[in-house]
Amino acid sequence: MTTPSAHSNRCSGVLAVMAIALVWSWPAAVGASSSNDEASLTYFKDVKSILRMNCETCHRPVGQNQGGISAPMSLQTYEEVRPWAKAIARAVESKAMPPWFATSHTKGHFYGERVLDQAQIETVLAWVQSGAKAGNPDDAPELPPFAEEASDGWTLGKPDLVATFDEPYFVADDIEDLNISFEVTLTEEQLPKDRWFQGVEFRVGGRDVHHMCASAYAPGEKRSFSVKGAFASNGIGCIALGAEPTMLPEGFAQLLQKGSRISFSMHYNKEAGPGTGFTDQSKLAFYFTDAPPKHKAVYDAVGNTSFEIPPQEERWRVGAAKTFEQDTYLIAMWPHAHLRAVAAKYELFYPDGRSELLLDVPEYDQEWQTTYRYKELKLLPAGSRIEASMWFENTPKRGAERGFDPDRAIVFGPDTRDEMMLGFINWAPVASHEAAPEAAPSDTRLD
Amino acid sequence: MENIKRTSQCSDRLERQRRIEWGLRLLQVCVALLLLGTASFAQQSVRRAGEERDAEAEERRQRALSQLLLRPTRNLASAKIQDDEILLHTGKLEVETVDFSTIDTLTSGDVQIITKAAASKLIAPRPLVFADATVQPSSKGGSGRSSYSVWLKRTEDGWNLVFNREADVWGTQRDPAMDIAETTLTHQTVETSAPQLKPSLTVSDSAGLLELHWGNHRWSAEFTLEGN
Repeated sequence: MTTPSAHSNRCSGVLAVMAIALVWSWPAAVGASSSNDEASLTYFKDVKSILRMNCETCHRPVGQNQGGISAPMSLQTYEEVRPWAKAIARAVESKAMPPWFATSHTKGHFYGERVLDQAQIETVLAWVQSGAKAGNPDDAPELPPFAEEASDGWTLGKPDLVATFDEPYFVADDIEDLNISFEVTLTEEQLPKDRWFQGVEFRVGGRDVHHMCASAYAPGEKRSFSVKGAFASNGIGCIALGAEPTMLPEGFAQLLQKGSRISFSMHYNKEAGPGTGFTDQSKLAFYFTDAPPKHKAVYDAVGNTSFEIPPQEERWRVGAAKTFEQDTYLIAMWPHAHLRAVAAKYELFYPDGRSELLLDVPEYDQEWQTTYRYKELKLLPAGSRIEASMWFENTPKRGAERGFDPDRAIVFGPDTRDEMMLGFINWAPVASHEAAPEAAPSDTRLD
Repeated sequence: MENIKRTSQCSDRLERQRRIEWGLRLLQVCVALLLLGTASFAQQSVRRAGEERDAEAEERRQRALSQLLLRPTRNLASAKIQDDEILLHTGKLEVETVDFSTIDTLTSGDVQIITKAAASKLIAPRPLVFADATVQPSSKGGSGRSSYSVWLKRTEDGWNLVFNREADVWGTQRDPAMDIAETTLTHQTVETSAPQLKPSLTVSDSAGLLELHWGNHRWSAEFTLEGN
C-alpha cells in the first residue's frame, strides 16, 4: 500500500524528472526574442525580491511549511535558483506555482495569498528568456530578514511559551499510520497566571508528522470532542502539510488558563520498515498579548462525522453547517480532509436571504492545507449560517494515485485512509467579551 | 580378456550415465514439485491476503456501524428484512428547536429544512418499493447498498417523503436536482409526544414500516425491498 509519504517521495522523483525534461525541452522561441529590456534583467535586480516574497517562504531549509516538507529545494541564492530557472519559468507561467487553491473571486481577501501578478510573471519569464543572469549583488533591494532568523526558527518571532510532550516519543519502524494523544499540564513556572494568546505556531518533530492539533483544557475540565460529539471551544489549532502559523488580529485572543492541560493530538504517517522510525517531540509556541483582548476568539469546526462514502464513487458530497446566534466576525477558514478529498467550499447565508461564496477550492489537495485568513474580517450578522461542503473521490484512479482501496466504504476516522470533513473556522463574537462574557457558546455541534 | 575389460568398462559407463539420467530426472521432479509447492503457497497467500482484506473491510464496516450507533448526535433505527439490513438515522433534534417550529409554517411544495443537523439518512441494500414509488440505487459504486438523504415535503393534502441522492449533506443543503424519488406519507397527530426526532423501522413478514415521530407528529410509509 502506498502511503502519503511514499506518494510524496514518488512525486518528488516525478517532479525532478519533469524538471529535467522541462529544462531540456524548453521551447527555443522562449529564448529567441529578448529585447534590450529583457537582456538587462538580472536575478539580483529584478527577480530576487519576487522569489523572496512569493517563493522563499517555503523554498528554504526552515520555513513556514514544517521545516521544508512542502518544498523540495531551497531557492534562496542565485546558485540555488539558476539550475531551476527554466522549471521556475514554466511553473509560474502555468500558475502551478506559487500554490494557491482558492478561486480568483476571493482575490485580495486573504493574507499570504500566493499569487503572482502578471507583471511579476512576465519579469520572471523574461529573465529566464534572457539567460537567467545573476547580475550585480549590489543591485539587490534590501529585503527584511525572515522573522525566524532571529528567533530560533520560529516564524512568528520569539515565543512567550513553548509547550511540548513530557518525553520524546519514538515512532517505531513498524508503524505506518498512528494516531496518538499526549497530554501535559502547564506548570506554575510555565504559566503563573491566566494569559491571553494571540498567536500559536506549531513545530513538528519530523516530516512524517501528518498533522498535529492541540487543545487546552482548564483545570478539572473534561475533554469534550469524544464525549459529546462536539468540537468545543478548547481548540487551539492544527498544522498539517502546507499550513501556516496563526496570528489573530489585534484585539482578538484566546484564553489560556493557569494550570491548563494541553492535549496534543498527533498523527504520524510513514512507510513502515527498518530504519524508518524517528523520535518526535513536536512543540507548540504561544504568543501572549499583554492588553486584554476585546474579542474572545474561538477555534472550532463546521464538520460532519456521520458520513459514509460509498465505494467507487466519483464525486461524493459531504456537508455541514453552523448558524451564528449573535453578530460574529469570521477570522479564518481551514478546510481539512484526507486522501479522497478533491474540492471544498464555504458559503455564507445571511438571515435576509442573501448568500455569498466565502471560499471555493475546486482542486483540494491534502498536501497543501492552506489557511485562508481574512485581511478584513467578515461580519456575520446574527442568524447567519456558514455551510461547508467537501467532495470526495473514491475511485480506482485516485486510489492508485494516493494509495487507498476504492472498494471500501469510508467513514469518518483518524487514519489517513479514513476520511474527515472538518471545515475549521476561527471566529469571535462582535460583542466585547468583557461586556458579555457568556457570549461565546462553549461548543459547536457536529453531526 | 581385453574385450571383457572393455565390455565391463562400457557397462560401468552406461550404468553411470543411467544413474546421472535418473539423478537428473529426480532433480527435475524435485524442481517441479518445488515450483508447484511455491505456486500453491503463493496462491494460498494471495487467497489469505484477500480473505484478510475482506475480513479487514468487514471489520471496518462493523466498526463504522458501531461508531454510527455510538454517535452521540444521531438517533438510529435499524431493521432486517430476511438478511437485508436497513438503517435510518436522524439528528437528535429537540422539539424546542427552530427546526421543529418551522413544521407548521410549511406550505404546499415546501421541503423542511434542518439547520441543526445533517439530513436524515436511509441506507438500504436493495431498491425500496413504496406504494407509489420505487427508490432506485443511489450509488454507482459496488457496495451493494445505497444511501439517501430523506426530506419531509408538505403537499396540498398531506406530506411526502423525498429521497435525494446526496446522502451526507447537511439539513440545509438539499439540491432538488439530486432528488430521485418521492412517496406519500401517512401523517397522524398523536397524543404521545416525542421530545426528539425519532426514526423507527419495523418489519413484519417481508414488509417494512418506516416512521418518523417528532413532537405530536408521526409520519409513516410501508415499503418492501425489490425482489422480496
